[in-house]
Amino acid sequence: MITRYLAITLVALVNSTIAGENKDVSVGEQLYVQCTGCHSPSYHRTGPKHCNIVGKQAATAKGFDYTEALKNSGIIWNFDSLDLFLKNPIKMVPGTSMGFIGMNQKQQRHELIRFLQTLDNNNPRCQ
Amino acid sequence: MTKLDLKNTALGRRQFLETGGKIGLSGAAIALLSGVNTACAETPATNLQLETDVRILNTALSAEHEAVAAYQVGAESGLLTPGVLKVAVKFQGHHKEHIDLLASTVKKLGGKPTDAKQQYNFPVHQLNNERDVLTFAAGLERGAVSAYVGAIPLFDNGDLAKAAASILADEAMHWAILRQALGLDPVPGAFFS
Repeated sequence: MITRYLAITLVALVNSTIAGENKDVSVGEQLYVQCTGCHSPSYHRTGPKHCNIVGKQAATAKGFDYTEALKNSGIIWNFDSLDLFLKNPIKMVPGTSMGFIGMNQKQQRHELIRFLQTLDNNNPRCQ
Repeated sequence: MTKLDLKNTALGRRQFLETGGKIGLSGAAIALLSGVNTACAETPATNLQLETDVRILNTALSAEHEAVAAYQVGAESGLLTPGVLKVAVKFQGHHKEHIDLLASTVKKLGGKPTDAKQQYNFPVHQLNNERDVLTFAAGLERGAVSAYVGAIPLFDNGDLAKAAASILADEAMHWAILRQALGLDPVPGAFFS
């Protein structure tokens, strides 16, 4: 009985921790500042806007002049492709105009992607 | 009222509005550019390396055009006090010099410099007072420093990296001064991230 109770408590604890990780994007939001030399969530700048980027095919946001390299990449922006791109943009898409060396630390990339995932139509930054 | 003031500058609003795009290369810029020239002549680079360098330079150029346009918005907003306006004029002038250097370098490397956009979508509806304008400018300068930090390691040509680092240093100074004007710690840490 005690073992079962401990197991349930542990599962609940793990679930709440995972949920908490998913909800707290403050680290990713801080990391996003590094992107703001060229990007904004809601409008195109030197780089394209980021609202609703997750799940989209690369180089398809209206009103932005993408490189041929990105247009021809066939990339769909999901967690894995963003992880690869943020690690080394030029290696993943030779010819991209994203002049950024990349983020070495996997944890940082994941935090940043989790923040990007929140940039949907429900996010005040996208309204 | 902010703490920002620059007493010893001859530039004013009128000159600010009249000098767009007419600033030539400064002595320092020419020195940086001549270094790039030498490097280009003595260090053979592959076409791919040159193309990459040109693309990075053009991305930086695009951001510099945006900065000039942003300072123009700030200057024309009517929200800046005379002292702050003078500083904004001065900073805008720096960004124009960066444009001249970057565009010249792109040409020397055989590329076509990126032009300024016809229109920029700045969040002007959020600029309601001087502090808003300074916050906006500080954000752009901080972002610019980040952009150069992320771009400089990509240069194949060391002299290009040196020139870009010189621009980075200037924009970091802008950021610090704008933070000071906003009542924030101008240098919040030993490292920039």
